[in-house]
Amino acid sequence: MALAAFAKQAAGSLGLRCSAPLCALATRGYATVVDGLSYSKEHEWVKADGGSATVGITDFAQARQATAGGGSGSWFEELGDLVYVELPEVGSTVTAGERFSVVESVKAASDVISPVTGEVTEVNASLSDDSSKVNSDPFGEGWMIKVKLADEGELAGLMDPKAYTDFCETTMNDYKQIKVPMLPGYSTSEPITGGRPKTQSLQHRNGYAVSLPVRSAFQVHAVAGPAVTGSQLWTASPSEAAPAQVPAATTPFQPKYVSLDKKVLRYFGWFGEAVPDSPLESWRLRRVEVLLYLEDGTMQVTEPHAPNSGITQGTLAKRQMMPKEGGGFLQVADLAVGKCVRVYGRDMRIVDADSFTREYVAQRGVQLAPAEAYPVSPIEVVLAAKCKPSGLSRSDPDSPSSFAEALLGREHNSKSLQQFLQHGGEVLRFYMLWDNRDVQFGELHMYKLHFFVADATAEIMEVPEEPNGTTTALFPTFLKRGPLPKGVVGGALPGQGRLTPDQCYAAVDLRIGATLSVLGRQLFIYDCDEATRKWYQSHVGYSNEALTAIDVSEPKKALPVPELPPARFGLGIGSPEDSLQNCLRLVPKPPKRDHYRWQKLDTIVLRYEAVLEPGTGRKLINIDHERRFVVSFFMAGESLFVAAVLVAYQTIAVFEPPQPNTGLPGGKFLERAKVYKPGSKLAWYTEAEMQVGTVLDLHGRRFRLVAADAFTEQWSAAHDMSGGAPLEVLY
Amino acid sequence: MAAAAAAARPPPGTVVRLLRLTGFPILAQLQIEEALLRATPDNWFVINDGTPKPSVVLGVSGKPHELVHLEAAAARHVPLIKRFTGGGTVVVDGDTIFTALIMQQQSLPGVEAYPRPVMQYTEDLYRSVFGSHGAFWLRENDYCFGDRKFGGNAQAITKDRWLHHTSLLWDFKRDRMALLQQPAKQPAYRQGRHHLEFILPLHEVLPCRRTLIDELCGSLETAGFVVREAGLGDAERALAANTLCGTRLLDMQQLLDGVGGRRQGEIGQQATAAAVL
Repeated sequence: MALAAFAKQAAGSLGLRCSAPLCALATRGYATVVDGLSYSKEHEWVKADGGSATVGITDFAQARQATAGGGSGSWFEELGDLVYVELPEVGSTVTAGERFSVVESVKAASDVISPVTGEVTEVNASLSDDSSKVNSDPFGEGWMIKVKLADEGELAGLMDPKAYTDFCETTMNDYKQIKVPMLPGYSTSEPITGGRPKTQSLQHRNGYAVSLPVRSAFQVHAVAGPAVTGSQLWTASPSEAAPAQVPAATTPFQPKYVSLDKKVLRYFGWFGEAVPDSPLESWRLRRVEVLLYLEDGTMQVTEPHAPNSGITQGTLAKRQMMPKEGGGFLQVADLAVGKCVRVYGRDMRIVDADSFTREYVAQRGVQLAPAEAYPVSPIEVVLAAKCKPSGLSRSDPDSPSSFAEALLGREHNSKSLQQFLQHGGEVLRFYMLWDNRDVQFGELHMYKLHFFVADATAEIMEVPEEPNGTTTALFPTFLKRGPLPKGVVGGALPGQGRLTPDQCYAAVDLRIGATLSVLGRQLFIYDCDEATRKWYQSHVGYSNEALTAIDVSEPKKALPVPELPPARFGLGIGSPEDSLQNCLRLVPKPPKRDHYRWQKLDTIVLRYEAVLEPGTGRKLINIDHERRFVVSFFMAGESLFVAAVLVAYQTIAVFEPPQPNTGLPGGKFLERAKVYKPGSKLAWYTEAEMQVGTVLDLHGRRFRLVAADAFTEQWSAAHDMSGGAPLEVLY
Repeated sequence: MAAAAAAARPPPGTVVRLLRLTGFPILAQLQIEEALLRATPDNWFVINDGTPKPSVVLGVSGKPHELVHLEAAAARHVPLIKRFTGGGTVVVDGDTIFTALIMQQQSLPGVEAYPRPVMQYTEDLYRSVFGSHGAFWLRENDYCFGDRKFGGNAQAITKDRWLHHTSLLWDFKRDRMALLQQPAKQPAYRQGRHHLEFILPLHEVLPCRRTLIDELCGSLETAGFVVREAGLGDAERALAANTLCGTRLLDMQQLLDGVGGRRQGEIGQQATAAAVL
């Protein structure tokens, strides 16, 4: 094979080597394959002669090159004959399958592979001078070596002329058809010609988005069944019969997913599942629902939950195109009442369909069979036999279960149970009072009685004093729920305290106006609530008059307001309000802060113009009449006096604007602070006093407010200036 | 066929092992190439940037006394090396870039293991490197720009493997080129030109030698191969495993003696002819 390329470009060689070998090439003409020789796959021929063989090369490849046309014209310009042959030495050994010679042509040194093994007895020495003999007469004068065969059996492995000819043709064909695997990434040298358009598969029709089947240029192998696209579904009619109602042609186009949206056909069925290793049953009935979604033809198989079955039920086959045995998908035509359908290897028998399914299918001309009964699975029979053999329910007095319970000692139909069952949630509420004021340290107590009719127990709770329901009592429960004895029962010994029903109060004993003796106290019932009234009217039959409430209200005694001690000098530390807290409480609390004022009003400053007024013991001198002051009244806010802390009380500051040529310096007259009213160590000036015309006595100096600035006028007109008495704030 | 050979692509994932050498002696390189061809099953690409000692390399069939000025070569201590591939004679030195592509025939299914298809394939392969620099083509088995040769090549083909190696002349020394005689077989396009007019040093056309070498290495990836760098150790292992070695250093003294003997013979023949006449 290595030789194959050689040169046989005889004709037309553009004369570069005008040598005898070339002329010889041109005049040659003989057969490609010669009979009587054996051929190897490497294109060598062997002529066996007793124990020796002559070896040379064939010219198959040369002929092939010529007939194949050579392709481009370049090889016509080439030199292509054998220019050199290197032969082994006489006496050397050649081995089958290994190189024994090198030949050169077209710049290529090619190995010649020996077809046989043996010792070289003779070489064709003439080839060293004229190697073109191999081209011109490869089977004759172009012989290369003669070998004494080491193993004549090797000749059997060579090809005869016919086989060799076939081999050559196959080789030629092989080179023409280069086989590569038809897998991505492998390719022949031929590019795929032509376009490979990918057409649009999504369109809009009548405003609805629909998909069209893709037309591909290449063969698409069907994977499982025919390729089904959305628009092709539901083309098969459910049965052989033609549809009874054909949709009118005038209706506008609606794709399937719109017209058949949310339309699902439902079939009920069952399948039996073998239960191995159970003594009770050999198979179990499993109910299924087969849902068929019309919009896309998908199907779903679910199993409804059966309580206490021990089987995880739910979706058996999720919604999908169910494959059918033998290819294709299950459609409506495959489902019918009374028919078996095979889904993933399970045979299910359909016994019923719901009404919508029956109607829908009937519209298309198919009548579904009437419903069949589910077979009874053996386990049901067994379980039914096990429990309730009598068939009576527990509440029946004749049922064996209640008899069995009675045997075991459980109370059967006890009175208390009856009472509980009858009067289970009924609670009667009465309001009572206990007047203990005739005793020292006694009080008037208000109680509530809750009487539970179910078991004739009662609890007594203390009525809250506050209107919002909070109780000031330390122990709201007066009596824990239990039977309410009429009198004291008991003794020191155990067992003596047991109460019998006739020793306790019953519902009939409770009346408005009755006095109960509870733990030695006399509690007077004066009222009950509406539900209790109704109960009594319906159950006991009391009249309305018997149930009217008794008025036990007493005039409220006004509590004496304790007089506050006169605040003369106070403690000298802190504010008087602070000191006052000690009078109000044993453990003083800080006086309450007015948060509203603090937050909202701290930017409000009312300013007035003021003049001095004479007061008792204080006369005005001449210059005083000329003096003008600005009184600033702060509703709340910072007070430097109290170390820059936000305060929530009203403060006053007085400023005297300097007047030229009066001799008075002017400036700050009174630093901003709270000013107590004269004679009071607790009341201070609030906005109630802030009006034009009032006289303020600020630390002995009397100022009469004569004017107010615009803001003050507006603000005081808009807002309530009554303030609030400081004392009330303190409490 | 030619188009198929030129456009052949290897199956995806075909690996070519790249052996980069610099200043490696040409004799050792040729021995390694022969070993890689004969003793390994892999595809190789060997590239050697210059050989340290100027040498004359003859083809398998080259007759030294016909191709080389032996006395001049001996005087200048230029060794003669006979390689295992065919082709002509070259003078190589540090300005010659050698490449060798060794391929398993199955790795390029469209390229048959014959000289012509192989050369068509390699022409296309090297076109990706040289094509942008001039009118590159393979003319009468030589790599040329236009009608000036810049690289020669030779092949060796065994059973299923082929080797194609080239010597690219980056530059050459005129006096060394003068060691070569005009060969009897000359390509037509040479048109009888002197060696120096017929040869084109690549440095006149290509800007950078380093880039050329990198592009030669990169041309394999462009051709669709997966290139893996190999080391000299792998090559030396092949060398140790190879038994057939056609590459050898020629004995200068023997050649000179042979030349002398031949001359004697020629003179004798002439004398005889004269005597006859």
